[in-house]
Amino acid sequence: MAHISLNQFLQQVEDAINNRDGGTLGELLSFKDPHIASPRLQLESPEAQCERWFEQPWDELLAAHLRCTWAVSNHDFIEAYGCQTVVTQAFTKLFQSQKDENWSLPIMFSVCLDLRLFANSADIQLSRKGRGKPGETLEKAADLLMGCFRVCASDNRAAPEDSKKWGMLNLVNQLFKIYFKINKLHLCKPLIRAIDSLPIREKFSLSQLITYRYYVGRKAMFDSDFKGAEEYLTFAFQRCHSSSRKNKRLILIYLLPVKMLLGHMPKVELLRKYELMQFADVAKAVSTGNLLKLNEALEQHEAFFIKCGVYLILEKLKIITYRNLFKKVYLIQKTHQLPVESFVTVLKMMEVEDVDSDEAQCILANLIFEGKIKGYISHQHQKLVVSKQNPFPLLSSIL
Amino acid sequence: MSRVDIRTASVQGECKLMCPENEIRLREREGLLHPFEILQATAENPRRPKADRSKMVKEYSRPAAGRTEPKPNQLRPSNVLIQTAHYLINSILTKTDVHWSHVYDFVFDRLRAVRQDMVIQQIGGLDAITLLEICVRFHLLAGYKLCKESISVFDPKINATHTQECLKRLLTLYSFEDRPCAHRTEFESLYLLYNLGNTEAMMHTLSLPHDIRCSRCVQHSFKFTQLYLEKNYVRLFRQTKVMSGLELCAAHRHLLHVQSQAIQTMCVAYSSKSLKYPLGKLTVLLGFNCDAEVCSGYEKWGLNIKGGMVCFQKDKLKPQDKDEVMQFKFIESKLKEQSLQDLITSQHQKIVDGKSIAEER
Repeated sequence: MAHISLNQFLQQVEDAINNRDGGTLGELLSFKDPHIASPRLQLESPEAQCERWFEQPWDELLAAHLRCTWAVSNHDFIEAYGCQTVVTQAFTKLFQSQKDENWSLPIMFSVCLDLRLFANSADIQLSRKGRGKPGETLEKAADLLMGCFRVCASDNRAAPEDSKKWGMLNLVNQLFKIYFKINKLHLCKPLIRAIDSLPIREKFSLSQLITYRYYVGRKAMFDSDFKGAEEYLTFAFQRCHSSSRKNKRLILIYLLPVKMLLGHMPKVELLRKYELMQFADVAKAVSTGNLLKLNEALEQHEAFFIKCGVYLILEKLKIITYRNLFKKVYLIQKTHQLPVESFVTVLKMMEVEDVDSDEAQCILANLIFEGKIKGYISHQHQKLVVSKQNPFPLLSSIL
Repeated sequence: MSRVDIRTASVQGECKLMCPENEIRLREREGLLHPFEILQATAENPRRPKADRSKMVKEYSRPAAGRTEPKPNQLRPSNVLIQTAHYLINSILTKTDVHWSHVYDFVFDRLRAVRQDMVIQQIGGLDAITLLEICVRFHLLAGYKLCKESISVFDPKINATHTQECLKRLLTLYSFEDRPCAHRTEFESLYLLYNLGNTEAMMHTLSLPHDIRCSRCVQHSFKFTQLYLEKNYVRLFRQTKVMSGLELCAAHRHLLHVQSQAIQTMCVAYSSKSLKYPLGKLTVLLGFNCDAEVCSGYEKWGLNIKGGMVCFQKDKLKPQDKDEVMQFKFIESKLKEQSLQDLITSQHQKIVDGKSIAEER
């Protein structure tokens, strides 16, 4: 394949089109396929030949694809992206004109994947040259992917087995990857709505469903919907095959903070198995209400947590840690009327600088407001009065 | 075959004045001079005012489709742009004979034109940074100074849009600049404060180069953001005492939210039919200007205040949608410590004979 001639290649394409063989075409147009290494296909201006073989829009599509292989061989990803947009646009036109058939879906998957990957590389090349805004090309790629998405989503008449809707989840997952990369998470919402309203939403392939739940789970984390995040990420983790170690670990990186926020600390064996011991110190500090150790753990593994994007979520564990710390005070003093001074003392032990009664009351007030402590503060008497029944409710029952 | 746009060489400006010749002539002829640009002696004759060339500044004009590219003699090169910005700050911003909102309108428009010239000529690097720093400081200050004006006089949303635009562009320039930028830490800090609690801003800060991220002002502002997210209103208001005037302007619109949120929290946490909380303490803790302000702001929410004591009752509080806009005494006093000019130019550059000289800090 790496030495395939232009005519051989175009013949294969023509045969596949005539046989409506989406699978083969998907390979022939993919940059994972060995044909892209063939120097006889890496042509700067293949328009004339393509026009001789094919009609619109296939001629445009193939010419752009071949020009793209030329650009890639020159490591010019900005040019490659430009070519791939032509491929995508030509494909979208084609796709839309195919009524009640979806054999082209594998082509769409290849074309869109390559579009996203080139956009990513183009952005890197552009920023190295000091041009353009970060993520600019990815954002444009997202617009083109949405074009394909709309064609799929509006396919209401075809029979279920011929429906283009089967392509929706693949595109949504691609779009998620872009939106997460360029930090425009709010754009995920309409896509989630579209998928959740599909009757076929549970029937997509498992790997696609796992990827989907993973991103939806991460979005839920971002929206502070921790119960939702726990549900989605647990699905992704449990259904992900044990051989995909890397993926399981990735899911776990997000699932762990969520579970900790819900009051469930991970077992050390689990952390050891997936090489995530950084979370061990954090978990121990939180469960024992040790604010000092939590700050130390966050600082020590700061680079790792920032790189994974969980640093800010882990900071939310401070509130849980306060709650656990203050619960200890309650358990030790064995009274419902706790002097604020006790809390000040314990905060001082955790090396909180310059802490006074006002700040201790502030922290208590927030815990009461969030339902983590049942009780009230009397400023006059400088006391926290807690409920006689279950003053420190289980965290999982509140969030 | 469509291609990705390749940036062509951009036009270089040659206009040596703050306003291009043709515009001076046109606006004078058509009676489109701004009061700040009129020759004093001719001000008496409203029908034919004459332009004071030393005061004419190029206006902002909306780019329109089909309009031709501006010619070099209509564009001002970076040294003239810097001169223009300094003129606006030193001579216009300091005017006391007019309502400051008129000053704002003029300076906003003319700085926007400066930015436009920058974009057309693709000016980057240290010059662009200097200009944008001035713009950001101006918009932040204006946002605070005019916050209580009615919308017909000052539109906070438009000001906010431009503040954010300038800030983001400035930060991008910093990231591409190899040479040291004296004020980078200040502006990274202002960005965080302006977007208090915003995850994207925090993630941006966390991925900054180590020396910038660990600088004193960035650390302080990051800590401030954490306090905001943790709702630690006590420590947050305490920290405002050590923040600069500009930092406070940046954080201002969020402080109002902290106050109202704190009151709602306390209403639940201190809720009791009989127990009371001293009003004076509340005032101090939450940065209010005086006891009366708490009353005027929150009695309409149902907050029960009698005899200098607050009786918090959670079922009686009815929060209203809009946070009332207030100015803070502690911000006013911080701002008064420096002149407006010094605040915006950060005392770093003085204009001498039309050339800018960077002062040693």
